[in-house]
Amino acid sequence: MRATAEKLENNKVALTIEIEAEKVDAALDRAYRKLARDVTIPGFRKGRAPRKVIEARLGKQALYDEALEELIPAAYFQAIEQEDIDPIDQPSLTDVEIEEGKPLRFKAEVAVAPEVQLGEYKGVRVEKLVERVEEKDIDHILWHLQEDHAELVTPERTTVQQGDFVRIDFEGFIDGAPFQGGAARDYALQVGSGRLIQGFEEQLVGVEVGTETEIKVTFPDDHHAEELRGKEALFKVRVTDLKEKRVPELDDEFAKDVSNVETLAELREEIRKDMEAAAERRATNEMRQRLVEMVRDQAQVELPENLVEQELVDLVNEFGRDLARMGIDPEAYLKRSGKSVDDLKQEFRPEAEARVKTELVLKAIAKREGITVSREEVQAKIDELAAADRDSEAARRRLEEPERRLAIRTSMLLDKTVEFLVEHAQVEVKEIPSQGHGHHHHDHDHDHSHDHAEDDQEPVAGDDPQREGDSAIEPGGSQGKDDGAKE
Amino acid sequence: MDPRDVIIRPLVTEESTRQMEENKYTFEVALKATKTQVKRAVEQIFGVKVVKVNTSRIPGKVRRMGRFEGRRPERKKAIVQLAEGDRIEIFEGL
Repeated sequence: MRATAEKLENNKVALTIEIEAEKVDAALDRAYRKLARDVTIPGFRKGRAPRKVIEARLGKQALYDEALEELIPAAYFQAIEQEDIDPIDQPSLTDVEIEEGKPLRFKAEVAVAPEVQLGEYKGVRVEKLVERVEEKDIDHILWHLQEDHAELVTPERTTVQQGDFVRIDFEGFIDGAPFQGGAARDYALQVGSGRLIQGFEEQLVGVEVGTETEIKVTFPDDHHAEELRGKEALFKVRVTDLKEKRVPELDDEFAKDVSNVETLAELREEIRKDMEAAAERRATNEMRQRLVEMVRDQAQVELPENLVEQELVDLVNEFGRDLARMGIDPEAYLKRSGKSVDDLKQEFRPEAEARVKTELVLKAIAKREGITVSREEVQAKIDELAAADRDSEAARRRLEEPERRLAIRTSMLLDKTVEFLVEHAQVEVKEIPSQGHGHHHHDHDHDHSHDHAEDDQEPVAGDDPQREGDSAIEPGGSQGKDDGAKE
Repeated sequence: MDPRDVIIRPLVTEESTRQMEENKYTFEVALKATKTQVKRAVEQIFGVKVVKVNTSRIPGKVRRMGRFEGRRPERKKAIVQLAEGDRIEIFEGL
C-alpha cells in the first residue's frame, strides 16, 4: 500500500491511496469464493461454479464491491497510521478505481482535529494533596473492627441496662382497652436505640428479667397513627431475654483474631499502611486530574461539533446503562422526569465539551512532544486484553479490527501523554488533614470488612416474628428502624 | 437440416466445464441429429475444426401431478472434441 496525504482547508486531509495489483487480485479471488458460496447456478453444486460463470451471473461489479469492502478499510486505517493522521469523522471516498490486474486507487477525504493553541503544559505547578493519616483515623477503624467482632452474651446481672439487647412481650391498653398494634411477643429491641416511642425504652431500664412490669407512656402529637396521638397508654411488659453486647478488648489477642499479625501495635501499623497507600492513590489520581484540567483550560481550540455530538451520544448511552444497572428503566425515567433525550444532551454538554477538549489538547501535546505508540505496544496491549478474556480467540479477533485497534492506540497515547505531563509538572506534595471518617468505608481495602450501619441490629434480627407488622409504638411506623443508637 | 436447428444450446455444468480443459464442448442438440450433422453444424457456426463427436440420449425424467404421470421430453447431448488450438468463446462465462 502507498499513501500520500495532502492538507486541505477547514481541517480536512485528502489521502490518495494505492493498493498493489497482486493484493487486489487476491482480494478479488477471496471475493469470488465468498460470493460463490451463496449462489446456486443450475448445473453446479454450491460454491463449485467457476469464476467466469459467477461473473457472468452476478456481474463483475459485485465482485469488485465485495473486494472493496475488504480492501478499503484496511488500507485506510493503515494509511492513517502511516501518515499520522487523526481523523475525527468518517472519511468520504471518491475516485475509486478498481480493475482486475491493476492497482486499486482511491481518495479519502476526512476531517481532522483542529489546530490547538497550547498554553503552558510543561512545568505546571500542581499540588498533590495527601491526606495525613492520624491516630484517630486508625482508632476509628479499630473501633469498627471491635464493633464487628462484638458478641452478644448473657450478663450476670438480671436487670436491664441502657444499651442491652432484649426481647420483650408487651400488651398495651388505652383506657383499659387493647388497641391496634399495641401488643407483640418476643419483640427484639436494643434499649436506648430510640426505636420505640419516647419514654418506653427509658422505663425498661432497671426491669428484672422475667417479671411483669408496667410502663406508662403518652403518644406524641406527631405519631404516625393518628388515632393514638396524645393518648396515654399503659403497657404490660415482660422482658423474656436479656443480652449485652460485649466488645472485645483492644489488645494483642484481638489483633491476632482479626488479622494475621501478632500484636496490636503491628495491627495499627498495618492499618496505617493501608490507609496511607489509599491516601496516596487518591492524591495521585486527584492531582493527575487537576493537572490535566489546568493544561486543558490554558489551551484554546475550536471544538468540532461532530465530536461533541458523538460524545453526547456516548454520555447519554452511558447514563442509560447506569440507570439500567440501578434497576431503572431509562424510558420510564424520561417519562417521570419529563425530560427528553435532547434535554439530557443539553445537561451533558459541558461535560462532553470538556472531554472532547481534553482529548484534543492531549493529542496536540503528544504530537508536539513526539509521544507515540508503536505497533508493538498496541499489539502487546491487545495480547494482554485478549488473554484476560474468557474467550481469548474471539476477543482477539474483535480487538484486531482496524477500528478497535485505533481506539486502543488512542487511549494508550492519551495515557502516555498524561504520564508525560505528570513527569514534567512541578508537583508540590502537601499534607492535608484527613477528610473525616466517611471515606474509609469506600476507599481502603484491607480485608476486614466493616459496614457498621447494617450490623448494628443484626444480632437481634432474624427469627423475630413481630418485626413484619408495624408496631404502633414505633414512632415512625416502618421508618426509624435504621436509626442506629451509635455515633 | 439447418445448422442452427441442429444445435439447441450449450450445456454448462460442472462436468462440462471440467471437460473444457480437454477442449471438449457439450451441447444439447436436436433429437434427430446425427454425429455428422453435429460436426458440420459446430464447424459452420463457430468456425472451428471438430475432431470427434460423442452423442447420448438423455431420457426424460418421470414427473407426477397428483395421479397423472408424465414424462419430461427426451433430449440428446453431444460432446464435441475440437482440434487443438480451437476454442468456442460463447462458453466462456455462461
